Order: sequence, then structure tokens, then C-alpha cells
Amino acid sequence: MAVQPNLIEVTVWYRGVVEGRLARQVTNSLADAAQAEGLHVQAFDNYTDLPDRVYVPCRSYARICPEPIAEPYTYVNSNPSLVVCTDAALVKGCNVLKGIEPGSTLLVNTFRHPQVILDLIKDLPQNTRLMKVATIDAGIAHQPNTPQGGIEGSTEKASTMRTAAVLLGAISKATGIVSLDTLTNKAPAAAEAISYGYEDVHELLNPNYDPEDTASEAAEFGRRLKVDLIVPAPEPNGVQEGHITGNYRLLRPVVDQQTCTACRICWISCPDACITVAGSKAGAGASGDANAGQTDDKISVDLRYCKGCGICWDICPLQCIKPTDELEFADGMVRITYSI
Amino acid sequence: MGKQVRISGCKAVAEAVKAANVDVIASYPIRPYTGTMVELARMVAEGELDAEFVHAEGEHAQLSVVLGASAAGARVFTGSSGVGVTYAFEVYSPISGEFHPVQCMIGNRTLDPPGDFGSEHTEAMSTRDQGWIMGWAATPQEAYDNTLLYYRLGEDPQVMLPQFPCQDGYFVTHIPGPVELADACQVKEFLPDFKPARALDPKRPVIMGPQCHADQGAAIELGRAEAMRNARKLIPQVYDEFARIFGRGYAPFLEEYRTDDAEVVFFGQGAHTVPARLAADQLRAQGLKVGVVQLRFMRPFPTEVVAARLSRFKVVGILENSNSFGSVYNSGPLTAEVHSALYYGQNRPRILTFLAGLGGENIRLEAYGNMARAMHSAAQSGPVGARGGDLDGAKHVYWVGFEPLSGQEAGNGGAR
Repeated sequence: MAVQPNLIEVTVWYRGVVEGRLARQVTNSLADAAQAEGLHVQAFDNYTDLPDRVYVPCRSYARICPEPIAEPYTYVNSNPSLVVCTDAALVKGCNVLKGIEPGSTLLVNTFRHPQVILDLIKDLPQNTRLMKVATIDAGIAHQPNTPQGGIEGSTEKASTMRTAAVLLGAISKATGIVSLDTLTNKAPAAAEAISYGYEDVHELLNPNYDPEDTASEAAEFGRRLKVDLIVPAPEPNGVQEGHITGNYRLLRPVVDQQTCTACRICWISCPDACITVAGSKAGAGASGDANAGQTDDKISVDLRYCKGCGICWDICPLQCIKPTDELEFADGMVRITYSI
Repeated sequence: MGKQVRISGCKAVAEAVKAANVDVIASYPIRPYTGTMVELARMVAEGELDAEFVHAEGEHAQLSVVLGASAAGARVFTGSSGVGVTYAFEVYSPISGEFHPVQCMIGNRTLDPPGDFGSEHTEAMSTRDQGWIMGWAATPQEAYDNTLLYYRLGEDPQVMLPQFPCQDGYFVTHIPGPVELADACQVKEFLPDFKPARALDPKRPVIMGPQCHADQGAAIELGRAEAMRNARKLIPQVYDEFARIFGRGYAPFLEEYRTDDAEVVFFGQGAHTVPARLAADQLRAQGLKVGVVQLRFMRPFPTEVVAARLSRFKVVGILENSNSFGSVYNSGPLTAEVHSALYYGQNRPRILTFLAGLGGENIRLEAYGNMARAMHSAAQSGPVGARGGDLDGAKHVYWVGFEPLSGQEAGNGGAR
């Protein structure tokens, strides 16, 4: 049940650290523009996503309302009506539609057609409440390993990044939350980029949208149960099932099995121990077997945990691990749902 | 009128520290107050603020650094959160006992457990008896203003006490809100340069904090008690000056909202009083006469003002955001203080304690509604003493979200 029916919640999904500034520029600028239009606004970041880590999916929020915002001190946007993803792989890695209001819009920064995005989210139960998918090629949002200043530190300076401006223009066209004029008046220096986003956004109505589906998802409430502070450790050599990290991944390592000799350099170098070796002689090479080169061992990657960090493809002596855009694959959906 | 910005409480404090032209800053990172220090570090690095910025090796060291610097006559700033506040505990008493008007912001965070990043007042409240001035900001604007107000109050020659300006973690520290920054000339007028009567000086060596004998102890303690009493007297005057110079102001001890005809009121500190106000608006539309009273100072606790003002209501619902396990009513420190203040009153309201927002839990509007209905239900019991016996036979403490509030079906109390 929405506490305030006129409240518009905007959630921007982004990659920790590398896209953080971009996300905050979008939410802050959107709030500023709406404020200039006489509306009540908030812009803030998800607290539990912070302090952010490189590539980790995180959220930044804007809230816009014609009357004063009734619950200004909350942790999340429970029922967003606009969801923005600063890169397309986020759509595979998270349930970005969680809690959306009926008639919502999903805007994704990608050169791909909205149909590609629509195909990736058709399994999500909230799909029927999504009215529209929009895509815009706003440029590569992430800058690998280049921290852009953390929100915790608030060390950032205002700047007009082109990517944010393009996304804002696309938001204006796809949703009308704020007008193109307001955006360009607030940031005249970015007017060209804003207009590009406005003109070039691709929109696609979701054929599964059901206007009759007016149920809005209730926020998940905190546990009311006794909490046990002693929890079982994972089994030896087991995995911590709760800490799936595959949704950090933008690029997937693809092993050319013809060239690969199962030398295990990637296996020993992987910081997350998610490269496994299997085969009839698995383990023989590791113990110095002279026939190691002829093994039928196969290298494989546990995609639930691979963060796409790139160490394996950098270190492979035969260059037989190829980084490939995660969106090229239909599998690898992670679908992590965050309660807060 | 100063510049209008939308910034978080952390950033607002950094702006106020810059405006106060602080001389020495000691930092050590811990969420959620860290943002203040990073912003101050940037200001110092970029030449916006001329101050010594010391990276301490822990909170105990932070407080020790500012103790020494304050003794040498510097205006100093430090801060912490959660377990950082308790790690520095040993140094709090020497700072107040030697009358160094150190300012240490607290961005509230739970202790371990749960140790999550959420706000709870427990860590700050645990320091309430150390001779420091202490109170809460409910908004980034109030956080900005409290930094200036507390320096002015603490550095008064009649007071010379350290100060804990507190703000709820995340709710105030992280969510940006509108802030009007003061002009430099206004700050200069309100907060003159810090010139203590006695400061460490190599040319005139003195010892501060020598070993004391048993017969000196009581006199030292009386000195701190009198300084706190002086602070209590000075607060209205300082708030008047603030309002005159900055053109905006606060009620010095209790900020009341829609209390003129209120039968029941929420009584609390800090961030949770903001949604309480919005809830009061909504509940009044449903015919419930609800008001809000925000306590501005935990130390010095304004006993007479609390006693006089709260006696006007039928029921006071304390928003208790910290624990004092096994204390009176097995509740929290605010509960004990309010009951004590009202003991000699002629018209004593019924008092309900709502343990709410612990661990940083968000108190939703629905929960305020349930609390207000519980207060109205309690109001039907008549004045205190009417029922007699067994502590008046009524239930005093509710864990919001864990048990049904009076007049409400069992289940989730609407907290999350």
C-alpha cells in the first residue's frame, strides 16, 4: 500500500565505485530539476549498499512529490515507477523490477534494442506491471578500477558528465517526470547531450503489461523472529551460498577449450577460487605428471561467483580466455533480491 | 541570508566546522560519521580551511589529541560513531573534568550486536554521565546549527564543557536535506574566537590534570555539576542570540509541534521526531489529537521545562531509541529521566515507552498510528493514581513491532 499515491520514486541501479558518481548525478540532477518545477524532492543513496565495492550492484534514489514527502527517513524506494540501469548487465544480475508500481518504465544504458532487455526480464513476476522499456546509448558508464569518489566521503565535485546528461534527456522523453526545458535550463552546458538522450531514446511498450494488475508490492518487513548470532560455517571446500557475486560481472571469461592446456595458471590466480578443473585425469597435472599437456582436463568457471575481474584472461599464457559481453549470453541470470 | 544548499547532515557539520574556523581536527573513520571527516580533509587539502588535520590511530587517540590541543587554546573538532564512541570512553571524563570545550560529533550507530550500520542512540546515551553537553539534531539544518550553538555554549567562561552534538546515522547523516549556510560575518558575531583564560604555554608552564587526593575529589565533581547548571541557565540566552543573528531559531529546550490542543504527544530526540510530526498531521485528519515534543538537550536535562510542559497532556509516549537493560521498567534512559522529572508534578500524565527504531529500524507512519492509538487507549484510564497499586496496574513499555499495542490486533506493529 502506497503511503503517498502521488509520490514518484526513481531507482538508479549502478556499479559500485566505478559508476557511483554517474548514478548520483542522475538522481541529484533529476531532483534539482523537479525542485525547479516546484515539486518536493529527495535524492539519496541506499545505505546498506555502501560503502560500495568495485562493480557491486548498488542503488541511488530520487523521490519527487507534489506535496511534502510523508516518510522522508526511509532506507529504500519500495515502489519505484522509474528504474534506470547504468549498464545492461545489471538487468541480468538483479531483480531490478522489484516493487515497481503499475505502469512503470525501465530505462537501460545500452546500445541494444529494448527487445533484448525485455527478453531478459520476461521471467520476473513484476513484468506485468512494467509498461515500457527504453534504451539509450549513453556511453560506457564504468571506468574500470578508477574510483570516482565514494559517497561516504562526499569528496566529489559537481561536473557535467555527458553520460548522466544523456540519461536525463532519455528520462525526460520516456517518462515526462521533468521537462526537457527544465533540464537544459538547469545545465545549459550539457544541453546538447540532454537533447541527444531525448531524441535518441528507443522506447518499446511491454506486450505483457497488464493495466489491470494494480497490486503494488508491499515492502519486505524486517524479521520479527529471534535472531541467532551463532550461524553454521560453510562445509569445508564449500561455498557461501548467501554471497553470490556473479552479478558483479560485466564481461564473462569464455575458455577456448581447443587451445587450453589446462595449465592451471588461471586456476591458481583466480582470487575467488571460481575456476574448476574437471576431467578423467583431473589433478594429475597439478602433481607434476609428465603427460599434463595431453590431459583431457577441462577448465570451467563458476558463474555464480565469477566477478569478471579479468585476471584470468590477462594471465593466460595462450590467451585462450576471451572476455565477452555478458549480454551475449542467455544464461547466467542471478536475480538477487535485496530486502533493504 | 546565507546560501541555500541540499546536503547531508555529515556535510552540514563539516560546513559548520569550517564556518567556526576550527584549529585542530582529529579523525578516525567509522560509519556513519566518516563523511564529515572526508569533507573536512578535502577542505584542509584544498586550502578552504586552515586547520591541523590529524589522522589518529583510533578513537582513544582522537580524543587524546583534541584534549591536548584544546588545553593549548585551540578550537578543536573530532567525532565518531557506534563502537568508536565506546572505544574512546576513558578520555571523556578527563576532558570535561579539566574543562576543555572539545566538540565531538556523534553520528549514531548501534553497538555490537547488532553492529549494523543503523542508527540507535545507545552508544551516545552511554556517555551521558561524563560531563558533556549532549543533544540531537533532527535535520541537516539542525546539525549545522548545533555545531555553532554547542561551541558557543561550551566555550562560555561560565561553562567550559565539551559537547556531543548527535545526529541519527543514515537518517540525518546520509539523507540530504535543505540547509542554509551562514555568512561568515554572522558566525563571527555569534561565535567569537576561542580565548581560554588558561592555556598551555611553554613560557609559563603549568600541569593540567595532576594526580588528585581523595579530599579533592568532591570539589572537582561539584565544579563540573555547577558548569552544567550554568550551561542550563545560559541556553535560552544563546538561542536568543542565535535567532537574532541568523534570523532563524529554535525553542531552546523543547520544540513543540501541534501541541496546543493535543491530548497525547510523542516525546523523543532526533530524527524520529520528523516522521512523528508528519504522522501527527495524518492522525489529526483522522480525529486523533496528537502532538510532538522534541527534546533538544539530553544534557543538561531541562527538568523544570519538561515537568511543566508535559503536565499539560493526558499521555506522553516516549520514543525510546536506546536501551538500558534492567533499568526502571526495563526500558531506556530517556524513560527514567522523564519519569523522574515528572515525579513532583501536580498533573502527571500517563507515560508509555515505545522501544522503537532500535538497530536503525525504520519506524513507518503506520507504526506511529498504532502508537498514537495505544496512547489514546491509555488516556481512557484516567489520571495517574486512579487505578492504584502495582505501578498503577498499567502496561508501561511496548516493543514496537513485537507485541500488539493496546487496542490493536496482534501482529507486526507496522515497524520495519
